[in-house]
Amino acid sequence: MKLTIKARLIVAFVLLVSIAGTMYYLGTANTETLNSRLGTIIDLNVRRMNLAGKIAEGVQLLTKREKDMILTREADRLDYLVEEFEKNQKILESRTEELRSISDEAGVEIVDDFSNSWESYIKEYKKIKNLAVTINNDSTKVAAALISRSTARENARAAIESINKIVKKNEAALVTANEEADVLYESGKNNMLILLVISVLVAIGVSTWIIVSISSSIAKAKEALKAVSEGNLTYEVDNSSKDEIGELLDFLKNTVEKLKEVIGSVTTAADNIASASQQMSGSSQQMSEGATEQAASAEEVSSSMEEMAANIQQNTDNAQQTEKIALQAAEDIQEGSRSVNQTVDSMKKIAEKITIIGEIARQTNLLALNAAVEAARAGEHGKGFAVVAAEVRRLAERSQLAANEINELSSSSVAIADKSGKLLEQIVPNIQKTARLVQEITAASLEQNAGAEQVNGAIQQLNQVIQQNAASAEEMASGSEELSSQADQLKDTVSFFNIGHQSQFSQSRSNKRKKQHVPVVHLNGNGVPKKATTAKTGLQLELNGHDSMDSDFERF
Amino acid sequence: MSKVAEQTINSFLSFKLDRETFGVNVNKVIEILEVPHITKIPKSPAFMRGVINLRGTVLPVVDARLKFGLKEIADSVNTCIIVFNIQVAKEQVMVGALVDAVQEVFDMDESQLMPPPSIGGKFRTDFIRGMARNEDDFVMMLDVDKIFASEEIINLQQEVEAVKA
Repeated sequence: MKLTIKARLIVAFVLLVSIAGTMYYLGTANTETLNSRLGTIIDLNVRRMNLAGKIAEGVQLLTKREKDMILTREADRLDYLVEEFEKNQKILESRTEELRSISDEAGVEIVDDFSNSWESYIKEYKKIKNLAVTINNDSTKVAAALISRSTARENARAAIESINKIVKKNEAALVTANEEADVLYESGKNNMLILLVISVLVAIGVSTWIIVSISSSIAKAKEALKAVSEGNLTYEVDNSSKDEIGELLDFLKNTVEKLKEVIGSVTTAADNIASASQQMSGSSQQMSEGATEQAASAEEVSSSMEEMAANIQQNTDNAQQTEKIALQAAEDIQEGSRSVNQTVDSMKKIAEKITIIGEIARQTNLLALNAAVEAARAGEHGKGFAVVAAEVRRLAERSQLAANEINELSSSSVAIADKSGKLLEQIVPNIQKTARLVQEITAASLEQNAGAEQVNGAIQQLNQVIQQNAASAEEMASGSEELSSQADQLKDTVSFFNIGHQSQFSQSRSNKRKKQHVPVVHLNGNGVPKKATTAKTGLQLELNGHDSMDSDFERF
Repeated sequence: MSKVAEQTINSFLSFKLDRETFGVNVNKVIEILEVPHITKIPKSPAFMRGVINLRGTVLPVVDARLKFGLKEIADSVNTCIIVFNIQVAKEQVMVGALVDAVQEVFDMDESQLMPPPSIGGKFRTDFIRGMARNEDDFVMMLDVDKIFASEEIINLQQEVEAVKA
């Protein structure tokens, strides 16, 4: 059956409701029959009996009044009685008519009998009335009493008997009706019983069908859930039904699959975390060592910076002195430049004078030559003079040469001095510039000094940070070991679930345990983790011991 | 003036033209002058620089460089005028020669003169009387009469006369 539970329940309830509807219909039909019968009894028989009773009562009352008339002599009383009699007679006759109208054929005959008897009685009554009321004396009274005791009584008895007949007849009808009602009740009861049995059977069948189908599925689900709750994720959920519980089993199957995957990945993740935290522990140990080295380096840098600051200070002093010296040099050089210019002027004057001397020497030379020519022409007589002239000429020539040389020298000296002056003049701004630059160097050195101090402060801060880092690295090492133990615990917890390769997993775990020499780290502050002799499972952290870092924390 | 005088006087005045040293017998030299203002004479040959006033007389001045076919250069402080007394057609004439520099007066025997080279000289050799050694250099002894013994000088003389007139 591919019906869902909902459909089954709907089918069952529809069946039961339809059976109940049928029962209701049948019950209603029976009750209606009974009701109609009861109506008949109440409407006709009881009414007839009631009317008959009242009529009988009226007959009794009227006969009594008739007797009272005979017995009474008082006129008023008689009038009243006559009036009363006639009034009740009318009521009786109307009731008789009513009885006749609701009676069946047999009843009508009986009523006719009653009417005949009654009319006879009324004839007798009229005689009695005439005797007792109208005449009203002792004799008539006796006569009336005679009539009343004889015929009138006979007629009245006949009338009452007729009425009684009617009553008896209706009583018999009532009994019949009662018997019919009993029969109807019996048949209705039987019908209802049959339907009840059918409905009970149907209900039992349908409910058994539903219960069996649901309970088998639920049993499967229970088995699966029990297996999962015991951690067996290898349980294969057998699902053949397609109803809601079948879907539930499908979902359970998916859940188990997912759970298996999750547990698998959690296991591998825990393994990874364990190894990673081992690595992290080593790394943070290295980091701690590195931080210590950094701290030492920072100390060295700090001392170097202090030396540098001292050097910079010395540079500043030197630069200031250099600046003064440069300014002094600039002034001196300006002085020198002026001196050189004066020298150049002097030399130019000397050169002019020397030119004059050269000119004189040249002219002397010419004169000496002329003299020599004259002396030579004079022959032997001019010989001595010729010698003198030659000597004069030679002297003049030497003078001229010397003058020329001096001239050249002074010219070159002038040129050199001029160049020197110009160079000195060029040097002055350079030296002034140098002074300015040295001033800038001084300022820069001062700034450098401040900068070096700042760097020094920064290095001190760096040192603190590095030491904090070292502490953090050590904390991290212990934290990673804690993490490793947590990962092992996680693996233990997760190993509750059997995901199929349980044996492999546990084997790897046991191998790991063999390989790993599980350290028990006592954080006792000396930084060297002691290995405990009793290593059981995972990383055993001795956290009860007191170490230097515990003083930073408060114990609760 | 006379041959006897010439022979007896063995003194020579040396001067320079370009890079060569020349010598002339002092007998032919009257005096040595610095270069005064030289009055140019129109239409005169190129080597005629003009005339100067020598103590009242008009003295024609010849540029010896141009006369010897050398390149003309500007006058320097050492440039001098040597006043020669030359004999032209048995007539004594004074001529100024512009030389680069006058050097000295020296004595030398005629016999010490070497003959001029026959070929390869820069100059015509007929007016070179001979070559004399003066230390490492040669001094060419000039016959002044032959240098200036040309019609040019006569013409010059005439021109000078004309100028005088």
